[in-house]
Amino acid sequence: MWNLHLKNAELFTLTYGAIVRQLLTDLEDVEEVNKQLDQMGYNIGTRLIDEFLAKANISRCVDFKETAEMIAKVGFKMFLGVTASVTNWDIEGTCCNMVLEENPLVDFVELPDTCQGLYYCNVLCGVIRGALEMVSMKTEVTWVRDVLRGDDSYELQVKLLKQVPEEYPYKDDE
Amino acid sequence: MLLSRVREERSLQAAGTRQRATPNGCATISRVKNRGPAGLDSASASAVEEEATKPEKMIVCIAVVGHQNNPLYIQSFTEADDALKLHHIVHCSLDVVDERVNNPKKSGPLLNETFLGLLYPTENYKVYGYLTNTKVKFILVTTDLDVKDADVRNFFRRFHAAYVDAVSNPFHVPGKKITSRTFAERVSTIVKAFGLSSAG
Repeated sequence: MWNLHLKNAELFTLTYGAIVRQLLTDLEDVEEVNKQLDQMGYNIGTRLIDEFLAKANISRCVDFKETAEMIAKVGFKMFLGVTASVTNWDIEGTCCNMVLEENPLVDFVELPDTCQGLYYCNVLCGVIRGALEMVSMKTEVTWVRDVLRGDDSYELQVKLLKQVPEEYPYKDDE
Repeated sequence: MLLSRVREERSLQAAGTRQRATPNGCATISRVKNRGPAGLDSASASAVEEEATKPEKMIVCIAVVGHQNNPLYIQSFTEADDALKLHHIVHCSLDVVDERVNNPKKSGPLLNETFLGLLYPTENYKVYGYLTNTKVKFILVTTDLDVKDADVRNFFRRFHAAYVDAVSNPFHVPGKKITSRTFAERVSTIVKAFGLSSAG
């Protein structure tokens, strides 16, 4: 069973690598590729949130802190098989950092010198942003540290910009 | 009587030095020089000294060659400046590999063997080959006189693993040279490990 997991993980890693390579060939501009990866992640995230909520069996989160913990401990575990830890909360409790111990997306990857501005795992930023938007939270997610760019770990910053209350499409007097 | 014997040895070694004044000869020459005065003690002492001073680096060069005989990676591990000679040796060994591949030995179980074994011994070097399923060849050039088959197989297995990881990099273009720094580091680690395990 574990071997099957490992084989699927490699296929996933290689597929993702192929996507990034193709984007670089098509778009040629590293910044454009970063944006595209984020957009792809966003599209994935908006769909992934339903699956997550259905499978995770968790109660409604009280505040953003709990949400962040959910993403780090349950979300990452469920979809990537890794756990993240949440650190660096600001005073208002709207901004935190998530540190990933491992990152299956980057197995075997080495960035060539021509792609130094690339955020290889930018898709993850998009996924979190998309997923949270579907539960009424507008966020900004960026990479703070990236091993492929020379740092010693993978660290995301998740900032809550606005909590959007749910709007009903129907007017009251109908 | 002992002195004359030593003089004989010295002259033989001097002749040998001239012959072996090749790249790795630096080590050999110094060894012979040491033996000169030390040999005055006894012939057996010089023999012991020979066994004690083994060549420092066992592996001289490794190369990865693609299926169209295009070089993908060549790394030499000697201080001497003989890259051309090593390239030439690797190139010649490719012919031997092609020969082995096209005319497989009659013994049945060896038909799908990846380890090609000793390709050909030159005056100082031994050349080993390994063929992957994708017709990528690994060539190993070593100076050692007494290398165990199992050690070489082990070396190639680890080398193959490092190669697979390097090729799995999405930024690596198949058919182009391997530019991965991680691969170079892993290869030097494997080479060092090979030297240490065989010297024991």
